[in-house]
Amino acid sequence: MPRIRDPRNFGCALMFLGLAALLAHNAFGLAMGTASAMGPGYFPLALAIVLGVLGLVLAVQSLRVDGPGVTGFAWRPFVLVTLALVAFGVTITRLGFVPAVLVASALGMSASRELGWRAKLLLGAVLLAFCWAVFVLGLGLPVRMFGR
Amino acid sequence: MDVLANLGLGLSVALTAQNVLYCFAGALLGTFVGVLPGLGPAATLSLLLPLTFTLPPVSCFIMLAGIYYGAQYGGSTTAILLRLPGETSSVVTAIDGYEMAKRGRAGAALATAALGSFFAGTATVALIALFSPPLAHFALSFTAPEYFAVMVLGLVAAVTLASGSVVKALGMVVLGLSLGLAGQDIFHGEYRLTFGLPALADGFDFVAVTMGVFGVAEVIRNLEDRGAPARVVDKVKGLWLTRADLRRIVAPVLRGTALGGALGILPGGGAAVASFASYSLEKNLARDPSRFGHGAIEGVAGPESANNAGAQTSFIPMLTLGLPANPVMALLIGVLIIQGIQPGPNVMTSQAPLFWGLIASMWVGNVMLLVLNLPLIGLWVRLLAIPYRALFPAILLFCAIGTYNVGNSAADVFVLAAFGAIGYVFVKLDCEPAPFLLGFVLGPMLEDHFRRAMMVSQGDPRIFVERPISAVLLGASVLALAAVLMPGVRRLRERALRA
Repeated sequence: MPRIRDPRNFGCALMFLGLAALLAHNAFGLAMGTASAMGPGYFPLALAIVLGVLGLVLAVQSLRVDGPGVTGFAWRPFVLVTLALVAFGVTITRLGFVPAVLVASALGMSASRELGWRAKLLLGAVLLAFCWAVFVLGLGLPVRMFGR
Repeated sequence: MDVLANLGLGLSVALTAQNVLYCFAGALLGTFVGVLPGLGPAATLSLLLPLTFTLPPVSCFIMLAGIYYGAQYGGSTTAILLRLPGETSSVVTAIDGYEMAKRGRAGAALATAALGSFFAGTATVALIALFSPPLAHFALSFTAPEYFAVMVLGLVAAVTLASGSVVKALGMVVLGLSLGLAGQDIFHGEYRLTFGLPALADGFDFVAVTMGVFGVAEVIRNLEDRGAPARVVDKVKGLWLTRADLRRIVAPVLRGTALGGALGILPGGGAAVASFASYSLEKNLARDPSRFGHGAIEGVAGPESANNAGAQTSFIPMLTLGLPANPVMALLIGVLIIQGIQPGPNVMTSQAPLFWGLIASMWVGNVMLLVLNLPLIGLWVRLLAIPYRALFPAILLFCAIGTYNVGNSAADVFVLAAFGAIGYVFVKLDCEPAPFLLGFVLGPMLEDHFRRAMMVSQGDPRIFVERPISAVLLGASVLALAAVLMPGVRRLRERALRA
């Protein structure tokens, strides 16, 4: 069993191969056409092949050449920041601007351990006022404050 | 003189009260956001993009150009005061600039950066005005195969300039190209890579992808637990340069401008390479090279002029060929498309007021920066004292609301979240986002031209080498790729790109 010597390149290779597979799968569901009259699947399949080859080359390389590992993946901010944005998307159309901003800033702020609850409350209020001023007042964002 | 008449037209557009105001607002906002630690020009631009969409195209571009210069200037400020370069092109500025700041000469370093940039900016605006029309005229004869070839060259150039593995950078380009194809196929109207979701019928929203990869991913990265941030230089005094300083910076500024202007024109060239090249040039020419790295003013003057010159001349391929040389230009191409303008050589003739107005506003923007930023430096320094933990929630919300604002669609916000996460994974896997974004923007155009060319040739790929221009461009791409794979050049490149 060969050892992974360069985890970052190996991860990158997996990413390329994964997308290549997805792309190829998607392309096979579409008409290929011919070189002179390409169907919607032709170019994606070509890209999938190139990406797959590059992924394989990189995978082989990562088994042969040493490289630094992935260090310090910041799970907490990674999860919470993503969650904050998703929550914003979910709430903005259902509950309105004010709840969306508050929910997103609450989740976003908890990504940092350095903020106390008083700072969070203050910052949340400032953010709400700031975003309202810029986007609703300034740019005329067509959105309900509360409710859909 | 045609050029003068055109510049006159440009100035008449750029100097309307409305556009001067937008240019001013852009420069101010750009500096404001660019000064914030960890936000380089590409991030700043994508963050402020939604503010400009409601404007008419000319004002939108003038404001964006203002934001761009402001962000660049802001980036140099953080490089000098905090040794936190917002982007690769100010990495070398951070070396001697920060040393100068530590020695109490922050004011002089900032003034040098501003003056050098201003000179370089003014000189290269003239270059753009002179070179763009003939180049665009030449490009008018381009048909599908030539466009395909020119895009391939641009993408290859982006690969050769990315740091790290060439295979990886190539992969990032192809990854970008693939995701750029998502949505309805323009020829047949079939859905590709939409996973059956109607919200993805138009593909991944460009603003959401850019903000995710450059804005959100950067926020997550900045929240990693790292050691204490660099010390803030709290007092900036002595903004004026001494006569001895002035004498020292004249030659580096001139050389930097020439070098940066030349390198910026090359597709894929631009600011980063220009500043590295200028730094090593100045170091080699110096009578006492050992001063470099210990606060040599030439080490700020040369690279700062070079990066501004390069940043500016990279507008030439963007405006004349629709070819982005760096992520910022890719963003601007995206904006052109959103504004309903087809990028390419036709922009100059069909959108003459936009084209010349933008060129003239570059100069106006540079003047604006000089009169605005040197006196306001105290304010910018105070901004640097804002702790990141108080800042990042605002950046996140700006990304979220800004993305939502573009199309009033919650789906775009989900795309933003996804690409923020993906962007952070890119960072951790040491994959460069710049080639990815170039690929993403060029994907649909590349496919379109490839299809057209193959249709013309009835499926014979030899069309790409039988046409002289396309053959030369593709040959250059192959050479460039072969060159970076050669061991000698590879080592040189690694040395030059290592910060």
